[in-house]
Amino acid sequence: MPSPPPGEQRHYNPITLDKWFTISCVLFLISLVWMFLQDYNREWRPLQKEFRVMDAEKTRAQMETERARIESSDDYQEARALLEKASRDVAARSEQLSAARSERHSLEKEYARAQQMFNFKKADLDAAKYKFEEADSHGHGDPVATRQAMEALTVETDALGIESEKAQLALAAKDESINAVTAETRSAERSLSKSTRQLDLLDRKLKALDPAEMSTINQIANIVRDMPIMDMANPYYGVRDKQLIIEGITDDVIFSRVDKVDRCMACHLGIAKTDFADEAQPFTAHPNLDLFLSDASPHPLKEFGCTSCHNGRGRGVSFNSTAHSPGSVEQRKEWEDEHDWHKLHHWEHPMYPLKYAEAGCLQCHDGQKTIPGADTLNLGLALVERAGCYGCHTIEPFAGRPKAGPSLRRIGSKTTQDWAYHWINNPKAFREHTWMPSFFNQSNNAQVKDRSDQEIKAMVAYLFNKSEDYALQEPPEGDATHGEELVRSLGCLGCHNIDPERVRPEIVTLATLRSEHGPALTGLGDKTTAEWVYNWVRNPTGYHTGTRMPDLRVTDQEAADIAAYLCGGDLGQHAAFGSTPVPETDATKLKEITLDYMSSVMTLAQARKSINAMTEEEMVVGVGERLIRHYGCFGCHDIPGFENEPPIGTDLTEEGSKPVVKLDFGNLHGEVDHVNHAWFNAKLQNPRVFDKGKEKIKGPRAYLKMPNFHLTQQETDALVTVMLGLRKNDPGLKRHKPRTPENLFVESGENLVRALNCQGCHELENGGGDIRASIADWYRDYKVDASEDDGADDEWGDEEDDWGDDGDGDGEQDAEFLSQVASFSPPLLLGEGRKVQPDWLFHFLEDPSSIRPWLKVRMPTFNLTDDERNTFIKYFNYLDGESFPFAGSVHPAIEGEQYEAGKRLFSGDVFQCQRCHISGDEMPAGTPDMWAPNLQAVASRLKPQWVLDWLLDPQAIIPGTKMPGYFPDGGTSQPDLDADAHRQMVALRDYLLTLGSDSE
Amino acid sequence: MSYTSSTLGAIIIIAVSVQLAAAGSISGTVKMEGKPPKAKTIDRSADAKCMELHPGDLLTESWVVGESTDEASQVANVFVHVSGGLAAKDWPAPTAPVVLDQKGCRYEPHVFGIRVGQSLEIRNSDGTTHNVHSLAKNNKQFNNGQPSGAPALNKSFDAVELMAKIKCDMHPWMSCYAGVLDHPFFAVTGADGSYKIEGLPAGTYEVTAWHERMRTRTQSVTVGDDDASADFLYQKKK
Repeated sequence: MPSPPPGEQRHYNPITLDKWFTISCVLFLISLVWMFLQDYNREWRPLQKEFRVMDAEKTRAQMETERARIESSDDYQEARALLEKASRDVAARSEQLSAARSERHSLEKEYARAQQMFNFKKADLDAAKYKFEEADSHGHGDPVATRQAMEALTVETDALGIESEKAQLALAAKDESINAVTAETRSAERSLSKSTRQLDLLDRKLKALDPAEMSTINQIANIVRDMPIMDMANPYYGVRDKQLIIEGITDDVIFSRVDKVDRCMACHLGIAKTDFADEAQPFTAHPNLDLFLSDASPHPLKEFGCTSCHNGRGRGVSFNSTAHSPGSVEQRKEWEDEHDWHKLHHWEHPMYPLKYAEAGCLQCHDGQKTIPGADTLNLGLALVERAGCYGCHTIEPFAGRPKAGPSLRRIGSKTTQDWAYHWINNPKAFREHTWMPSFFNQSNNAQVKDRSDQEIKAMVAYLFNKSEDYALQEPPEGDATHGEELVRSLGCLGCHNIDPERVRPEIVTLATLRSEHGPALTGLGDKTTAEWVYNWVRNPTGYHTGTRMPDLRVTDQEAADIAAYLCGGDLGQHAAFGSTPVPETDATKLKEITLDYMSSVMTLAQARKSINAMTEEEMVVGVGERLIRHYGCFGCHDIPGFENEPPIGTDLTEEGSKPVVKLDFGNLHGEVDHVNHAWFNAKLQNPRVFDKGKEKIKGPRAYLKMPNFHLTQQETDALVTVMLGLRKNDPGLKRHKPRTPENLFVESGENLVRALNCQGCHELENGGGDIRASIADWYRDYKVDASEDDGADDEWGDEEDDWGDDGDGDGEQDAEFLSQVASFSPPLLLGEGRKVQPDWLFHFLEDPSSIRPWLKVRMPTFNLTDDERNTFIKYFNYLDGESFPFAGSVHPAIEGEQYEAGKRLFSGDVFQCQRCHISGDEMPAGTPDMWAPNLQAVASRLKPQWVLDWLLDPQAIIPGTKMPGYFPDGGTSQPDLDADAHRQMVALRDYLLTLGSDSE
Repeated sequence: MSYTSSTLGAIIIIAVSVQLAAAGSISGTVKMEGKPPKAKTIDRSADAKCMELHPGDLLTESWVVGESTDEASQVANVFVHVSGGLAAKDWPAPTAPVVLDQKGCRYEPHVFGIRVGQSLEIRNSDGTTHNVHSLAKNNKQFNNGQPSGAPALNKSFDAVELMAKIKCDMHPWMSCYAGVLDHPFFAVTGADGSYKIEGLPAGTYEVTAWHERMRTRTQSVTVGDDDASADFLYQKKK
């Protein structure tokens, strides 16, 4: 090692310095390379490579199919044959063509030459013109000589111009003759390329995808463009061209709102491609491309992106940085193994787990309770209504809904204190499927059963003590057999069920919830008396003014029959319920509870003093009141003394935005995942679960008190979806379903439809008409004429079951039977807005008049306000796209030929309308299952345009209807009015409109 | 019984022969155990026109039998067809239509076979209005009114269906059944309960009989060069 030159004094040893410099250089270089490699090896790169291969394979397969399709297509074959023929023709005339082409060549030269000569001469002429002007006006030269020169040149230029034009014409003529020969070839080529366009596009795509299909130069470029560092310019693999910038939807990025950027497609490459539907993640296509992502869908990818609905961190480009959320413990484990998954702690809106994905809909569809396609969410919203969650929890979209349970204001007339005790103690023991939740015998209070018993007794005591009078009228003698027929035919089963064996359905749907709109009518003889049921059915509002139970306009005798049926027999009696004795009142315990509650509002000494001054009854009733307030019974029931109480539960309007740190996981930190949906899930499955291990520390008054609804996992998932969706309004989200007056009217109509359970009986926009199954039962039992039954079905049977229609009118699959059932079912209300006049609907809802007198099922009288009836009119009309004021002129004039034609078509000689249709008081001749609506109501009830549509094609409006179409394919079999089908329909319609006025 | 004989006379046995090198056939008789329930008189009092169009009693057509003893009866209006064992092949439907007539407030024929795509010509020979309402399940339903003197309606079926019911809502007793098949191997039993399916290539087939009330019975039949026989006997459930 050389020593430093003599005379140089340094404070450091340059050798050591060099050594460290070298080492650090190497280290920096390594880290630089490392950095590049790290940046280069992103998670998405191998995925994009894999996808490219898959895409190329699929494209190739598509090309094969397309090629096969083209080759079998007539257009292509025709074009090819044409091209071949044309080519042959051209070949046959090739000598002629080449001669013509060489001629054209010389003509072209000739034209160029002539054109040039002309141009030269024209330049000379311009010069001569100038010289003449100079001489003539300014005296610079000889005006005569210059003028002569100019004139001579003019003649020459004109001659050359003509020559040039001639040459041009000759060239054009030659071109035309050549084109005539090749025209066929070119047109054949054009139509060929038109039919192979799709194939050419695919081919171009494949050439960009698959290196094997590329030219050598492109293959090299393809490698180079994606090399580290080089890939800064224009790489194939990357994120830049796959990210979406969503204008108008913003994210809050460090205190400023910037347009949303979604890079999800860096990995989810097949998300919008139909041919990736069956691939695994991350390449699979969106499961519902008709509703999402595609350009024609209501949610195009470019306008909505991904995280607007799914949440998550759209800017992320790795599995973890995008805030994926596992939906279960198993999925979390799987992700931890596969993707090294961990929670992204500081992102406010992690992705919704897949099973709760529909929560995202609620942000924009916030006023709607039924969102097309969001089945889980819709079920959740319906469950909130059915369970009455809004009774204890303020939830803004549900504000103003009627209380979920029955009124207890006059409970003294309805049942006994003993029954009420057993019911509160364990509602499920009376009806397995009741919606009354369980407050007692739960995981946190089962061990204080003694106290619970006294609490229940105290609440019952309060309710009966405050119960208001209800004068029961004595019913006439009831006939239970007739009562059964009435219950099964009047329409009671649209909202109630009468199956004593019924349990909660395994799969809950909107239809099963509708069938539970009212309580089951089992065990009524235990719960109450026939006398009470008689009074209730006769006049529901007489018992409770705000009841949702409508008036079925039953006679006193009918009411008595119904009461006799519902309260007697197996249906009315419930042997097992209430057989255990009601515990005795325990004064000591009662005192203890009273003291517990009173000491929370006064000092212990004061509390003791006032308790000692109370009688036992005062104490029972007093503590009962406190307990009812504590448990919030008034959230669902109308209870005297609790008319203006605020709800007792947490406000859930923005529950989905609540930070997880505000949720008390109690002692379950290890057992329940530390995320909001896991907490919601645990809470709904067992509302007392977070008291686990705290029962001994807390006093019973501090126990969690949300009651147990015994929800299934399916119901819980649906409710969690709703809770996740109930979020703080995101100012960045500007894609709300338009709040037009039309949409708002439809929404408020839908709310009414659900509150009154219209769909229990009628089929409407999204389903309903569930009562039909019970009408079928009734029809089978009461209407199928026993004398027609020759017993053959039982005697002969069927070898196989695949012969559906046996024509005997008793099978489920029997089309004729179903059509008969349909004629005894409540009418469909699809298209009601197009069909009926608003005035008629308004009066009908106030006082339902019979249009179909053969129906046993009765349209009840609902206590609707004028506003509500107008809401229905607007709902039906806007739903059908009708425009205000919803009805045209309904009084057309008809006379002369028109009138005669209408009358003749109507008559028994031609269409025989009155063969089935009722007209005024005139009933048709056949049996009631043949009857059709009263024609005298046409003028006041139906919209004129609808009558025309109906006459033209009844099956298009109500598939399966018994109304025959007399104008098949818009034609007619009748000669009237020049055999013009449309004029005949108008004449018949206008004749029908005169029917009502005839009778007046 | 004049009515019965006229009905039976109207029933056509549909057997379409196809040109095949070796064509066999299946024939036989359909019988039922004992006697059928008695046919009932239809109450037409609501429609004077129908009384006029069909003088005398109009009887229900669910049970039409030929020779009938306490042991067994020959059953008419049974749709017999090959239900299995046919090689996959396209059998082009005949261009001639099947005719269904409304006559004397009944359908003629009461049971018939038709091919997928074959035209069904529905005539109204009555001097009154009928409506023709198809209650098909596999095919598109239709329901058209046909006043007296109106031209025939032309309908067809797009899919195989066993059996498609057609009825008149104005005269609720009027009904008939169509067996819609994509091959020509079917027949309807005549007054004596006999049927014949012709033009079958040699082979072993499933043959099924269908009756409006007694439903179906199936058996296996082997067809050689000549006529194979397959009788059906509807026995009561034990």
